[in-house]
Amino acid sequence: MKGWRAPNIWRGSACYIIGGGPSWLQQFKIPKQVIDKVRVNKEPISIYSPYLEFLHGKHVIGVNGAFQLGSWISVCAFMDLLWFEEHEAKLLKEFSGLRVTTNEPIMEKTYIRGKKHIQYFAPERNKIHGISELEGQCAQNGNSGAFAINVAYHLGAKRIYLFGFDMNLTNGASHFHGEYTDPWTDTIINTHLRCFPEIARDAKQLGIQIFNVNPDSQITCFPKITLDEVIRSEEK
Amino acid sequence: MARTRRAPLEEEEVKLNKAVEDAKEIVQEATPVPSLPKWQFIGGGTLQLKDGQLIDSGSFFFADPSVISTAFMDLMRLIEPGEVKPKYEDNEILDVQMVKREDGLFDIQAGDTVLNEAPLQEGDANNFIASLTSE
Repeated sequence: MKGWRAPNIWRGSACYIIGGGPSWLQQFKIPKQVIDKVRVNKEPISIYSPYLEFLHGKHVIGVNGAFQLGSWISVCAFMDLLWFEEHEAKLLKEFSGLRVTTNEPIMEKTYIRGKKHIQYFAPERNKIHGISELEGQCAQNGNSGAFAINVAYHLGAKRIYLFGFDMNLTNGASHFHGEYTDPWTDTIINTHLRCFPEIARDAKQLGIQIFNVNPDSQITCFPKITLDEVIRSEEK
Repeated sequence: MARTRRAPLEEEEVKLNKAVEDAKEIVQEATPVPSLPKWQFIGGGTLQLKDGQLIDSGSFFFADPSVISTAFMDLMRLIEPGEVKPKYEDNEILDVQMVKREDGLFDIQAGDTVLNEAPLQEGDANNFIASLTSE
């Protein structure tokens, strides 16, 4: 299956990727009582939206469930078939941005409905980790957040800010949207960490700057900065 | 005299397996349900679909995707899309749109959010929308 030849609509601009880790809840100073309400499903994830005002109107990729943060999310990137099964209706009927995946079985399930509502990037052969430069292709990287970095590249972003790329536990939590049934272990985390050194190497060669907006992240191959530094830098 | 059954020679076994495979292909290819998607089961063993069909490894079959367990979808190769009743009506699904600006240029909008960094010429905006629906 051929991949989407994504036009460079973000040429030269900044892109913000919201990953699954919970560190950005603190970065954006979201009160604990609000977080607790979301964790027990008393409030939807979109209740966080007002606290994320800095990102409104910017080029934002939400990884997996982050698309539910608000209509200001431009792109939802995902690759997990089971996640898609669970969120399919909401993703199609409530999210109006671009939906991108690199999982072919998801495409097979959506193609047969007659119209394409999800864009597909084919995994580049022989390049498991890193950033694929080939049109319509991506390095799968084994996790949705890293896939989103490749999507940002194809859309033309030159500066990429990573939120929630934690790869550790923040106050005992691994994900901002709640925990998975199987708890995160060091083995899982180490598997997810593998791709980032190659992404950093490719980004340097491609002239892309990637910043990790979590000083406590276990991903150490990108410069770490605080949210205040991002705001100062991008508001110049 | 009691008849004894000898084990098939390797060559015979290969022929037999091929005949079984061919028969399987012919029987399932001929299934008169052209409106359903055609799949190949690329996993091992035998799989039972939710509608009761038993599917052998490597065989082709016709089925609505709803009868295939999600857990086994990775082991299915879609051969022909067929015609499946859409799960959602088109007007229920949100998609990005091309919107003309006051200055005559165009934006690609997802709801109220403008996706493009800079306003687009009509041709570029059309190309973007076209890229979303092309193969």
